[in-house]
Amino acid sequence: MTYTQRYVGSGGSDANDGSTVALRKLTLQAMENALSAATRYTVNVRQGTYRELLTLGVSGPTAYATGTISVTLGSKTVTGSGTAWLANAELNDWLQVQVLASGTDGVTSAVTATSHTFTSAAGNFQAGHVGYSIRINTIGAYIITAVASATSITIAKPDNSSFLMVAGTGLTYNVGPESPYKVASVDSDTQITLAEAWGAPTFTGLAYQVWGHVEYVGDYTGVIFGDSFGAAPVRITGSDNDQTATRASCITATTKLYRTFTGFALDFTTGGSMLNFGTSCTNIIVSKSTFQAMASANAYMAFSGTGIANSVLGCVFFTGRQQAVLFTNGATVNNVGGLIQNCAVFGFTSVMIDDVRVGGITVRNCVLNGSGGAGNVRVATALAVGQTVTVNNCILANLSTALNATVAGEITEDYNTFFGNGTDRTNTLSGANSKTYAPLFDPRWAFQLMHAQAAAQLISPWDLASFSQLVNLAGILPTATDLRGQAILGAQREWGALEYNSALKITGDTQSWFVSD
Amino acid sequence: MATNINIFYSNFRLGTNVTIQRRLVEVTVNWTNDTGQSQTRTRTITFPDDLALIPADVLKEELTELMIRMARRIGGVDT
Repeated sequence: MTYTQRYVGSGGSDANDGSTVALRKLTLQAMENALSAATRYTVNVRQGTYRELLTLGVSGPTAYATGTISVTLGSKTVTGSGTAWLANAELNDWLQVQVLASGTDGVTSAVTATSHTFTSAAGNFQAGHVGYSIRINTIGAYIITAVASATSITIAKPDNSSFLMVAGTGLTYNVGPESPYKVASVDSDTQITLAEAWGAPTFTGLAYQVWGHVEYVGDYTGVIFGDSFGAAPVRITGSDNDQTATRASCITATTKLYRTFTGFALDFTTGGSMLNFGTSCTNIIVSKSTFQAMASANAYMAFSGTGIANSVLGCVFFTGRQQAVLFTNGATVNNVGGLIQNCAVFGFTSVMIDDVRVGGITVRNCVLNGSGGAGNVRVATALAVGQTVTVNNCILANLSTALNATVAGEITEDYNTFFGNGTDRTNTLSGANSKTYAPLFDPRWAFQLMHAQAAAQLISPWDLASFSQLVNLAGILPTATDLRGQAILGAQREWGALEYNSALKITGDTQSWFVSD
Repeated sequence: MATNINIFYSNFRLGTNVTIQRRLVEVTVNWTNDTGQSQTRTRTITFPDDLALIPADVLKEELTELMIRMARRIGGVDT
């Protein structure tokens, strides 16, 4: 049940079986075609550029969800009750709590107030639920402001405004998701150690999933393949010449489950979604990857259908046309537990995060900066009543419209900062704890460019990649030196502010802010 | 300078027909198609007649943006 290691990359051959570095395959698709369904794999991908479309052919093993778990804020230890993890979980699996509380017996009363009591005899509530959004079907989405008991909570609108609650009984409700965590070890049938400490509040008796997966891992550091010259991205591109895009996608899939992609530089596709997870792909996790150069008004990453538990963790999206991440379905779908967190999105033409009829998305701890989109977290087509997109702890700056819903309640925002936007919120209530603080990003990288010695220079977001076709492209009357003061390198002064220098690394010397004498 | 700008709209609906003066403009669009060939089209665009060529969902989105800009000006957010 351990993860079978596979290897693919330059110097390989598709006639190989991919079982060792020496026997690596050459192309991603040949590797995929050799995988068995429902099997745990780690596919290690060598540094280099892959000019191909990868169509996923297999799903990972079915998730295990028997019993319940208890988790503690700041602890890596997960304790199970009624679990049999030794036979059903493995190091490197994902463990996730998708639903922090749910039931079908919720009760509300018709009272006008700034906060309301919501009860459920099922008894799901714990102190840790404070601050989460609760989605109550047919009624609305609210923030849990207090937990009186396991069966009774207090809920309010994000702006703490007074309103007449709709009375209801037998209400279906749902809270969640939380982040997925990698399993570091399965210690016993009732204990798992996570790779990272549980970052959410302490809970007991939660439903969960632990799942094995097929993961593709870009060997950025070069350690796996023994590439000695250092770190380098693993690039998958939709272009064959880096001048025009050729393929619609880098990775595409329909109805695939339990797949993970980590550590890829994805770029330059014609449209139709750079990563296209269609027809209800489920338990897809994409992390620590970059996306750039979308040649048409399409999404970098699209999840279409009714799939659940799809997460985007720690990715960077830039030079996008429309949508860093899109969740879409032809009919309303509830409580999918989609998660976008720790992502940086900048330099977009239009909408950054878009939602078409898909309820239960959480966007948190993201930076969204610079876009003309009419809603950069947007509900483009109405959700079912009671469903919401939750936005917390985000920086929303210099956007045409930051948040845009079709009706108030579809976006539940709080603890976000809004700065320099044309419109901060459309059809979205103002979170009581949100700010209008300027982000004040750290400009030291720019001073490093302008003032540091050559040996201390580092790559900036506006340096051209070695494969950029703007390198050594003849211009007209160029400046003699660049932003760094660097004179021409190669045949031509590059277009843009920075001269391409193959000697530049990604780290310079370390300088901190001056504090005081 | 206005900050913390929030807009709420609802009840997007059709009203009665009114007569407005047409606007016409000659437009040339040049682009490169998927096979790398240069394309060009020139025609007279007539407003509002040619709005009928726009898909309903796109029309609603664009008109909503326009109406929001009108609301901002009427409300004094933009001058």
